[in-house]
Amino acid sequence: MKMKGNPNLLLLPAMIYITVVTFFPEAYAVYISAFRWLFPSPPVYAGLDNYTALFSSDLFYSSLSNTVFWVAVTYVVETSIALAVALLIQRDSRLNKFTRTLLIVPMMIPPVIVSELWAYLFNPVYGPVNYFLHALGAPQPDWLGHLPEAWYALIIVDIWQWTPFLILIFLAALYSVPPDLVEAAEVDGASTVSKFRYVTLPLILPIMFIGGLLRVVDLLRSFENVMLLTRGNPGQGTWLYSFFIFYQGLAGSLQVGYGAAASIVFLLFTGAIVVTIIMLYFRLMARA
Amino acid sequence: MSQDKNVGRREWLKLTGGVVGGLIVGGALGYLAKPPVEVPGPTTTVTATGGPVTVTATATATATPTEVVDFYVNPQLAGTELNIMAYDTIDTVQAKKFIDEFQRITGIKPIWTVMGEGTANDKLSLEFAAKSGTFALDYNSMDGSFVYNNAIAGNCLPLNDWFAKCPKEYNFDDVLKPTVKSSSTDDGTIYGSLWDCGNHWLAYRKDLFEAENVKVPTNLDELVAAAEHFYRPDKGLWGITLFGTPDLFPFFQWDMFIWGCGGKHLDEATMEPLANSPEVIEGTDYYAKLGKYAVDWSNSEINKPTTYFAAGKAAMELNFVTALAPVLDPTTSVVFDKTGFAPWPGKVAQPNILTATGYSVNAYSKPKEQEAAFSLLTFLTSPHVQSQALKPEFGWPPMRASVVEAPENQPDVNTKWGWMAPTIKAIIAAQPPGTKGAKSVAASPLPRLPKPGVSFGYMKIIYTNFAKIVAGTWTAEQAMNQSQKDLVDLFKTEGLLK
Repeated sequence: MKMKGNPNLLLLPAMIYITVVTFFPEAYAVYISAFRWLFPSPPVYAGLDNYTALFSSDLFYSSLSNTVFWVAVTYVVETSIALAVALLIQRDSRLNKFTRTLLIVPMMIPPVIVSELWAYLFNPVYGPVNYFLHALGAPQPDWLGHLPEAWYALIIVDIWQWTPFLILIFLAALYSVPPDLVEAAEVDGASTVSKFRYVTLPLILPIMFIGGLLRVVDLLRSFENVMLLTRGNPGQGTWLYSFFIFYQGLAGSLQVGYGAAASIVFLLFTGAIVVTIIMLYFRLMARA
Repeated sequence: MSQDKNVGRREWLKLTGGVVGGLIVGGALGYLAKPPVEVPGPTTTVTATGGPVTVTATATATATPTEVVDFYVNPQLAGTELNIMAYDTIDTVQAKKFIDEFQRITGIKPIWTVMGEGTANDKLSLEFAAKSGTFALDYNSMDGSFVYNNAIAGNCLPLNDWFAKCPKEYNFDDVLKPTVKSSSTDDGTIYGSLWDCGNHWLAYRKDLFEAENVKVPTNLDELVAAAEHFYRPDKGLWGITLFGTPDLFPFFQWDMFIWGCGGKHLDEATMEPLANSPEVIEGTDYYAKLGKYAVDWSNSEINKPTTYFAAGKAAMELNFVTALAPVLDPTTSVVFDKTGFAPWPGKVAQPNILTATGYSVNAYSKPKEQEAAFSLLTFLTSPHVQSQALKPEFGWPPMRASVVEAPENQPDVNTKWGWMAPTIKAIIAAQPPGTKGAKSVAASPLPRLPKPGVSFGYMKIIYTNFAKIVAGTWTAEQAMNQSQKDLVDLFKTEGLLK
């Protein structure tokens, strides 16, 4: 049956929505990044001055490097833990079913609440974490006020909340592995490690990539944990780039043009990372 | 298959219908059984200025015949909804206790949005930037910078003509002059009114100081020495509590330290910042030294310092007088009967800085809402409301001379609200020459810059660089030198410096 009319017109509502919600704000951000705009004073055209100021700012480089460190470390730790747990609980048993249900709970709590809760847990005066450390005779650091403890605190909170997300994805990937392939490897005398390395891992790698991509994007735009746990402290030692944009562009004084310039740079930076990951994924698939 | 165990569709429908019908009938009966709401007659006489004024009441506007209306009332505002942005502080708690009376008299319905000061200021900045006028009455910090900046940006309504319409019982001359100055621009145009005013004080643990024979600090060196003496974190006691998060609170506290060392923010004649002047560096250095003995310094914001002091975790606290109120409350403080108060121990003898918060009217709201906002503003600052400031069930530093000087309001320093006494005396002493008490006005020294956004940028530069002192990565001199550089860049970019 031949379709009448142009089927591309059916895409129009979605395209209008994406244009209004995504492209227009981005285009407007590019426009205002060319202005020096300290609210509530009127904007003054400044050309590339905001970008010049950005690239000569120490805080720009430090928050960018903090973000790279944060994404790399958190992602590696989360992926390792998630894979290990997924392998442990993939078999069908009552305990594993219960564990899988329990794992979802941290993900269901709003991130803002999680950060507030952990801020109390890590409180150096009242917090239970230091209370138990004291009971064990261990040192009780100022978790949110000193480096590197502030980084440990941020990473622990993110792992607690979002590792289950990766666990669920990896579990789905493990369930998609044909059992007869694993059995065939067993019959051929392959060890557990060999089975995992040569049979299971290549088959789950594409799905791990997708899960990894989603986590990396989430980690790149992390904000609430820094805002509520450390406020970028100590000093500006835990500033992530998202916090840098907020602090410079909105908090305290509204330097909107500068904030917009920082956002555009971050968009390009994030885009480059995502494109790199996707290209790696396609290369991997082509090889497979 | 056992059919008698299955409930048929018809039976389910009957059961559901019965439940729903029962709910409807029950709800109707409950509604009819409620006592009727009394709706007053079409007019009610209210005693106001010079004689009776007839107020046309609606269902929500009534006043008892004996109430004195000593504030601005317009009966046509009855039914107006008034959005208010307020800080999450004791001041708002006290103000809200009077709202039922206001609503009963005027028929205006206040709707409060309460949040922390830093968050509220950010929200207000966005509100003014968008000119949305959501909040007709804004709770502005009136320390000489916020209301000034918003005024020159056109965000607040000038109120001189409005105050002229108030009944004579409002008695504007009774309002303490330093508070009027704090809410005005330099040409005398008034843009708000203070709800309270106070200054910074030192709260200390009388029991610890007496037991260990430590002198109550009277200068900054003694303050640092006392903080070091009581620094015992392994025993759950720190020397002092201080603000330390990168926001406005450390800025205001830092302001006291540089003031206490005789420092200034800028040279008003040349508009040059003075962040790296010897006095400012010295004051900052004292703050940095004290911070080593402060509990949870880098995370202390808003109410945290008072919470720690009230929990007995620190030997001293430096704070705004109204922020210290919970320390004396037995329900929130374990040290309510062990706390003493002393003047802020600056190095240089300076008049106490008056710090205060109050209300301004949003210039972008609708006229009716603006008028309703002004009505509430004058209600909260009216003589009859302010006269209750020092009663035990309330408690805020009043902003009217008649209340401050009334004989029944000279409290003993040992009574529950005794901590108000030094504040009251300082306020009287800060009256301008020729008025009650001949000391110079000690309004806030915060910079009044001619460009609206620059003041906020100024504060942000200071507290951002100060955060490095809190982190221990910079000395006071390094932080202030960097601040000077950043401030000069900002002032030049904004055309305030050549």
